[in-house]
Amino acid sequence: MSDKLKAADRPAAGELLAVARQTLLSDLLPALPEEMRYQALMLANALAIAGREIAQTGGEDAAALQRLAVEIRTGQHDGDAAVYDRLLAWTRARVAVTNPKALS
Amino acid sequence: MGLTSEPQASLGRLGERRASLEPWLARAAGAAGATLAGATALKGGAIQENWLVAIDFAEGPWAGRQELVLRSDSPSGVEASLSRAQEFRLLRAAAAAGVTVPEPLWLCEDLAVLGRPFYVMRRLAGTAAGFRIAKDPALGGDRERLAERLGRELARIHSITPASPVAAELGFLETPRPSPALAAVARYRAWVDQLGIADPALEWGLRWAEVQAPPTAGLVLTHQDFRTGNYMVNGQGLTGILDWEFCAWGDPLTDIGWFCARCWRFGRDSLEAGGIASRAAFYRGYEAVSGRRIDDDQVRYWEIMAHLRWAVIALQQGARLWQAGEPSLEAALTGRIAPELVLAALRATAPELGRAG
Repeated sequence: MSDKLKAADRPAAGELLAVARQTLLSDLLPALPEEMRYQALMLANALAIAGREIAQTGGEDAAALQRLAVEIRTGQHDGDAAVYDRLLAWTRARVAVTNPKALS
Repeated sequence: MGLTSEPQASLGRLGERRASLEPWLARAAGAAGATLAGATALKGGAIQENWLVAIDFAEGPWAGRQELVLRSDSPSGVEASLSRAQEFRLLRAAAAAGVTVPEPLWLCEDLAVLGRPFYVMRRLAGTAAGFRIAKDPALGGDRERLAERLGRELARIHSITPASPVAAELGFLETPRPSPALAAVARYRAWVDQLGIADPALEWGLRWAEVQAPPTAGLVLTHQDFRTGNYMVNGQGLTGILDWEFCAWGDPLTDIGWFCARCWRFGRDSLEAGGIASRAAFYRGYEAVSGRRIDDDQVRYWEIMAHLRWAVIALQQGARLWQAGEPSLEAALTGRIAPELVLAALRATAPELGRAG
């Protein structure tokens, strides 16, 4: 789907996820029995991850990552500080989506 | 897994098998008869099913009501894990070596009884839940003592080697070639390839692990999942080591690194022994029983490897977010913890200064 098409409809996907998550936490969670609490919190976490992923911009090209993975495995970047820095930045960006607390 | 819930009147799916199960139990226990009085499915892995069963035995050495655990292969078997029959033999070998385990009682490989192989073991008291144990210091008794005890237990597991007489019973265990470290790297690469995942950051870690692979002096029985969450404690201390399905011949430091790795501290990062106590206490117990000094530098290698391994396993679990048509939110979210595990491995494997290029 093109960016233009994605931008056409409101509320946007990220807004839907945020509202859904807030409804879950504010309205549903207090009404749920104790044994369902963990599942509800997992659900809230899944919605939060999806929301952060949608909001993220930039990122690496998939084909380039695939090539790099093969090159690293075959020892073409051993000790390569530039590649290391790029991987570190890319992985930090992924963790910013999955678990921002792990970055602190 | 939590083996703490009480059996209920409902027998669940186990009840459908009582016509074949009860006579088998009676025979195994040397009883005149056996009645399944209760069966509760326990939360286990995706790999096996655990049932807390209450059985009324008539006569024989087990006469009366017994609360036991019945463990069977799950319908959706996972490769890379051992069968229940193999696990049963491992439990027996471990018990004979002095390891505290739920005592394995009877193994059934006759598919006519339950449709799948299973075994029965004694029920352990307590809890194994990692987050609960890390959070509640009242569990497991004195924590330094608990870690020391766990070190001793691990050393007893490692006292079993391919040269031990009991190894004849354990012929199913894999021997890593050319070395445990290199075999692990090859296995994790094969797994990510199977998943169709190309993650250059994970590859960086695996390449580092390949280049830095330490030699292994001698192979021992390694548990391969020895960590907080896989042992059971009550208010006084340890009641048993659980989850034997990943055992293999390996480097003893693999298990020590897995136990101490930051990713298995359940948020209690400063408590380097599994989030419960000091690393020194754990090492002390291990060294006292094994008579071997732990090479701490090499343990650090295996701690990085632990993050890589857990990352690959997490990716595998994430790929199984649909299990037999049922969604597993837990599996899905587990897949997404891989990046933080890879990040931890990356941080620990920066290129050395002056070697860049």
